[in-house]
Order: sequence, then C-alpha cells, then structure tokens
Amino acid sequence: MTTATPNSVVECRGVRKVFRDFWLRPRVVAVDGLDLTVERGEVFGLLGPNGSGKSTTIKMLLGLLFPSDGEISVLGGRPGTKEVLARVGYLPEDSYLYPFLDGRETLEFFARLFGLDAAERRRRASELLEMVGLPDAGLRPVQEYSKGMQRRIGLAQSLINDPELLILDEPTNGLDPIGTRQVKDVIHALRDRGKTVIVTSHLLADVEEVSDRVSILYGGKQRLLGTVDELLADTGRTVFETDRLPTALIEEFKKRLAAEGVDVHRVDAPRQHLEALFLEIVRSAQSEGAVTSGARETGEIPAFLGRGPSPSHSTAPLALTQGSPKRAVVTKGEEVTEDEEHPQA
Amino acid sequence: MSALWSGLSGGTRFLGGSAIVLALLGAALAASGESLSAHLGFAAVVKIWGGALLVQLGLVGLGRILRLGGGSFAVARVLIAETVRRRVAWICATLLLVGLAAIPYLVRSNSVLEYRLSSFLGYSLFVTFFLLAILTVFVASGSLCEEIADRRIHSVVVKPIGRVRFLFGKWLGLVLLNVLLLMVSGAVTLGSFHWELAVAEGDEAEVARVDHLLTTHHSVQPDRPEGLLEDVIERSAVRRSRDPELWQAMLSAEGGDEDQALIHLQRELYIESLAQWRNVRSGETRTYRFRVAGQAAQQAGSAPARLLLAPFFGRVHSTDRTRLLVRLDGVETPVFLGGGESTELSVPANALADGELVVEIENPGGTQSGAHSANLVGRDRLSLEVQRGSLTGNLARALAILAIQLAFIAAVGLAAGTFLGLPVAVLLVSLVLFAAAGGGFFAGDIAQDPLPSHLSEHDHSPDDGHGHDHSIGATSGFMRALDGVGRSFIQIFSAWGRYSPIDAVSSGTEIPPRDLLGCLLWIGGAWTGIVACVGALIFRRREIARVQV
Repeated sequence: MTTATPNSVVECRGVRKVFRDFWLRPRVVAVDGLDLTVERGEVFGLLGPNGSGKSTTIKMLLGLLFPSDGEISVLGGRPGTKEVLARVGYLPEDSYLYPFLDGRETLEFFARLFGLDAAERRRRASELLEMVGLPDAGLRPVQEYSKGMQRRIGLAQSLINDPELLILDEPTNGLDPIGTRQVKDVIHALRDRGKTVIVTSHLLADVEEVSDRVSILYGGKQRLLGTVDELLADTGRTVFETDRLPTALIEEFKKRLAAEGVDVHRVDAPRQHLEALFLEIVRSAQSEGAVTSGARETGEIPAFLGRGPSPSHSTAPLALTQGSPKRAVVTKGEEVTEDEEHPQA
Repeated sequence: MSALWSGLSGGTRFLGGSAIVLALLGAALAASGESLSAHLGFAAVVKIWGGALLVQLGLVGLGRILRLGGGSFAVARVLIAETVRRRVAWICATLLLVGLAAIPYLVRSNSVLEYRLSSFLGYSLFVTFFLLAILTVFVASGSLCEEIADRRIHSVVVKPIGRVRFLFGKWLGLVLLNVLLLMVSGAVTLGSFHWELAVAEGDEAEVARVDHLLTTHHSVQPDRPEGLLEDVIERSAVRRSRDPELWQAMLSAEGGDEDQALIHLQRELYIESLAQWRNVRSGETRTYRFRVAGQAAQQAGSAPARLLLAPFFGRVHSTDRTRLLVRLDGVETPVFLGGGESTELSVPANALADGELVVEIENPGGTQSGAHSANLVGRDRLSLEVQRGSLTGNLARALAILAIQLAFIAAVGLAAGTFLGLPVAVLLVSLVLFAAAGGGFFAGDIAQDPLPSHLSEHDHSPDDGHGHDHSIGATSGFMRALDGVGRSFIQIFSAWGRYSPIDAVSSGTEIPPRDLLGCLLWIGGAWTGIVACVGALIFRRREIARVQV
C-alpha cells in the first residue's frame, strides 16, 4: 500500500487496471499507470471522455474493482475495508436504489448499514429529505420517482454518514437546473466544512465551477493535472457587460477603441439565459404555493454534516440557493469572478 | 369512519373487508339451514382468510423484530420487504393457502376417515414444501443476481457492512420468511385436521382409528439373534475351505488382501443370515424379541402398542391367503394375509410393562396354491409400533426439518447468485434440490439392517484384531480411495433422504428429536455450512463492477 502524505485523502501510484476475459486474456486496459493525489478539503474534478477510465478509477477507490497493478490508499487505508468505507460517501453514476422502498426507508436502510441508532437515523433521514426537497415524497416508493428525484435521494444517501470523502460520479446526471444548482451548492458547502469531494462529470462547466483541481484522463492515462486557475489560462480578450446602450454610444466606443488600435470583434445585446428564466419561473410558482408531486424547494444543509475533523472550517448551517448562475465580468488583463452566495476566499 | 378506514394499511383493509364478507357469508349459510362446520366451501374460505391473517400478522411481527438488529437484520428486512411488495411472498402464500384449503376436496372421496386424514396431512406438507422450495429457489437465486446485474449492489457494498454479513442478511431474511410461511401452513393444517375430526365425531369407531395419527408412534425393530456374529465367523471359516472358487473370487475382488476378503465373505454371510432370520418358511416358527428403551419404554407401559406385520409372499395369486399364527403375551392369534397385505395386532399396555415383548410367528404352511415363505426382511415388514408423542409435536418437528432443508436451498441459491446469472443459477439450484431429494433412494438401501462395526469397510478383521494394512499397492489403494469417495458422496447425499418428515407425519410415525438434531447437523450444519463458505469466499473475492470502457 502506498504511503499517504498527512494531508492526502487519496493516493494512487502506478495504478493499472486490465479487464480480462473468461480465459484471463487481457481484453481492455481501462487505467494505465495512474498517479493521483487528492488533498484533504479540496474538490477534485476527474474529467475525461466516455471510456477514459474515470468510473473504473472511482470503483477501485471504493473496492468494487481491484487494481491489476499499482497501489491505492484511501483515507490512509486499503480501499473497500470497513474502516475506510465508514468514512466515505458515494453517489454512483445512476442512483441504484431499491425501487420498492420509499425515500425515507431508503435513507434509513443505508443509515443502518453505517450502524447509526434509530433516533439518529430518523433525524438524518428527515433533514436530508428536507435538504433535497423531497420531504413530502419520502413516503412514496422510489420506483415512482422521476430520475431527478431518484438522483436527489441518491445524493442524500451518500451524505447519510457525514462522510469525510464524498465521491460523486456524474452527480448532475438527470437533474433539472435546480437540482444541478443544488449539487453544486452542496459541494461548495461541504468543501467549506472541510470535506474532500471527488467529482466526475461530462458537463465541464459544472466541474469547472466547483473544482479546485482537475485531472483529465484519456485512454486510461492522465493527460493533465492542475488547479482550475492554472489550467484555464487568460484568452487575451476583454468583455464589458453593461446595461443596454444606445447605438450612437456604441459607435462612439468603437471609434475610440479603433483609435487606440483595438479590434472590436463582437457587440451584441445578449439574451436572458434559459437557466435564469427557468429558475425564476420555478421560484415564482413556489412562492405562489403551487402544488407539485416532485421535488420542492430545497432546504438547508443539515447541521450534522461537517461536524467532522476539520475545526478550521465553518460548520454554520448554510442556506442552499435556488439558482444563482455565476456571472463573469472580465476586463482586459484582470479577471474578477462574481458569485454572490459563495464568494471566493 | 372514512378517515379511520383510509388510515389503515392496504393489507389490514383487505383483511377487515374480507372478514365482514366472511361473516355475511356464514350468516347467509346459517340462515339457509346449512351446517357451517360441515360445509367444505365455507371451511375453505375460513382457512384462507385465517391463514392470510396469520401471514399479515407474522410479517408485521418480523418487520418489528428485524428493526432491532444491525446491518444483517436491515438487509434481511429489505429482502422480506422486496418479496412482499413485489407480491412474490403474497402470491406464494395465497397459492399455499388455496392449496391447503383445496386438499379436503381432493381426499374426500376416501370414505375411511383415517386414510382421509393421513392423505390430508401428507398432501398438506407436500404442497407446503413444494411451493416454498420454488419460492426459495427463485428468490435466493434472483435476489443477488438481480442486484449485481442492475448494479444496485454498488450502493450497498460500499457501505461498511461487509460482504459476508450482507450475504448472511439475505439468507436470514429468506429463512425467516420460510419459517413464517411454514408456521402458518402448520397452523392451518393442524386446524383443518381438528376441524375434519370434529365433523366426523359422530362415528366413534372411526375417530378411535385416527388415534395413531394424533398420538404418533415410535417404530421398534426386533433385536438380532444372539450369537449371530460368532456363528457367521465360524461359518466363514468352513465356507472358505469348502468353496475355494468363491474364496478366490473374493480374494481377487479385494486385490489379494486376505483380511479384506475374509471380511467381505463374513459380510455376505451376515446379510444372508439376517435374511434367513427374517424369513419364516413354511412349517417353521421364529421368535422375535422387541426391546423398548428410554422414554418410549415408560410410555409403552401405559399405552397400547401395535405389532405391524406385512410379509412378502413372493408371486402369489391375488385370492391366495397364507395363515400365520402370531403368539404374543401368551395369546395366539391367527392371521390370514395375501400378497401385499398387512395387518396390525394390538399389544396390551401391560405386555410391555418391563419394556420387552417376545413374539412368535409360526408359518403352518399350506394354501390353495402351495406353501409360501413369509419374508419379513425390511423395516416396514415387521415392527412394534409404540405410541409416543403427539401430532402437534410431530408436525412441529416435521416443519423444523423442512425449514432446515429450505435454509440449505436458500444458501445454495445465494451462493450460486454470487457468480452466476439468474437462469443458470435457478437451473443449478433446482438440480441440487432434485439431487438432494433423490438421495432418499440411496438412503433406503443404507438404512436397512446396518452391519456390525466389525464387518464395516476398512475396519479391523474380527479374527486377528489387527489393523488393516492399506499399502497393498498403488492401484488397489487408488481404487479403494475412489470407492471411499463414492461411498462418502452417497453418505452425504443420502442425508436429505434420511429425514422424510412428510411420510412420517402422514403415517403417524414419530420423528424423534434425534432425527431433528441429525438434520440440523448434517443439512443445517455440514451442507449449508460448506455451501455458505464457498459462496462467501467467492463473494468476498469477486469484483462487483464490470468493464465499462
């Protein structure tokens, strides 16, 4: 087993995974010599096209698959052991739930597998149902849920044990914009509380928004690793965003900029984002008290999450936001990212 | 009122509603002058309703019990919830209850109450085992296979429960569900039995004959004649010198090992002598001594016993009857028996006061078609049936044996599910079930007249007292090892057949607690343990996920 540095949560050294056929002939090399370190308290994005080895890597971290070669350490232990699994939360690429259990039973069942007592199970299940916006759907069988609702229950079950390490495999898969926003908010909130999160997704914008560092895999090998800021270099362009300007003023600007030798590539009046419109409509309907059998307004992140081992991080309850698409205002030579709910430290 | 009604669960509402319908049906029948207790249809509906009520109550109780424990209990609870909510358990329970309710219709053509009730008990237990075996095969094989196939298991085995505990939880859930359904079946069967008996109460003679079903009996075999082994050893020496061809054949069969060849010869002679001793030839009289030991002896002194006599006369004409004279307790009783016929003679309680009974059987010979030997070889041809135990206790032991057998099938199903897909797993488990049940054929051979330990395979020679030398030669040793493996295999596979609770209950034969313990050790311990270890080993070592690149 590899020796983990004090601050590392996941350590992979020269990990290789070869899938073999019945006669043990090598069929597919899914992961090939992967070196990876995930530090405590960071959000780590694992990116790559289909079949690049993301899910295989995650399954090896969980002990669902065994590496053909190399060493893996998770939270200082061997993957798949009870001691390690007790501190890990996992949301698979599909929620994989028992369809005949209702939402509350599902959460209480998973809580029992962690050995939580009955009162704690009930409390956590209620708080998580509230958090994912399914307090009323908790008594309906999961098979009656929409895919997005199942995803929300899946997210809730992955948090039932207040994990130190949360592994989210395609977490926004099948979620509506509210759910997607919520997942991102949960990731931010958990990071703020000292948790470590590993995220894989095809939706690069989502990963970009939440990750501190990303690794890009292709063909089972790591092609790129670094912080988001390092990797997303300045494009050398400048964008102004203002209230609507009269045409005459725009022309005047153009002339002034041309006089300075600056080429203006595009001037337009951007349309409203569909996501923003969607969230506004939903918020409006919720404020009117419209009835829905689906997910409702999401609640606060439960207080039990993050009472863990990182006292340097805030443990105050954080309100989930309902749609706060990040707006970027970029000026030449300087980037300022505005995110009102989660300002960068 | 409507609020109260809507607050009840679906199952409770169904049972409450059907109770009202049942009461109305009963009232209508009573008003039309029908005897409710004698009405087969009404009895069938009551049995189904009562059984369903018991199942519902049992499921609620199981759910509450399984809330108490740890992770394995949680898995067991989910498995039960799955079978109930997917209607599998309820369909099985319904078929079971309908089957039990329909059996009186099937056996009613039999005018003799004793045989009717005996058939009823046999069919009831058969239907119960058959349905629960199917349930177990499919649920045990399917439960794990499905979870692996649809990847639900990815969400579960990444929790700190441990794969072996997860597997155990599944097995526990299925075993508990089987136990519940067996208990319900037992309660309905027992209730139906007493219902039938109550209906027939008018005919005291008939009811009295059912007594041996209500108070089960213990079968006692006659003691072997004293000095039989010594006689066989003596005769073997004579035979060896008088029949050198036979001796050479036995020597070559045993690879030239004289000790083994001698044991072989003595074994043949012993079996031959036993057969002769149990064969009453025309003009002969034989004496058989029965000894009743332990608890049965105490009960034998206070309750009447029966001597069962079912001789085999060879190929005789159907109208031919042989006269035998049976003397027991100083009383001579003539019996006339034809081919395939049997008789039971009452043995007064005081005749067994000292736990011993001597029976003389004389075959005077002479029938219409000539003299015939009365062959009494086999446990069912000559035995003393001593009353011991009650139907309830016997039924409980029978159900316990069935539960152990089903628990084994559940273990096989789950073990198969750890590495096979659903259709193949179901096929494999079904084959194991049939093979195990077929072991009864071997058991019949093995159970009859076991040889004394002196004459058993690979044992000491009775005349020299020295251990047998196994190093005769590589070929001989290999063949002997192969023979040993084969015999062990038959011995292990015959374990299932040694415990046939269905026949025992329907014939009123006591299932001794020793049998229950034996079944628990062999099938519940050895068989289930081996299969569970194999399943656990595979499940612990296997990769749950598959290639997805």
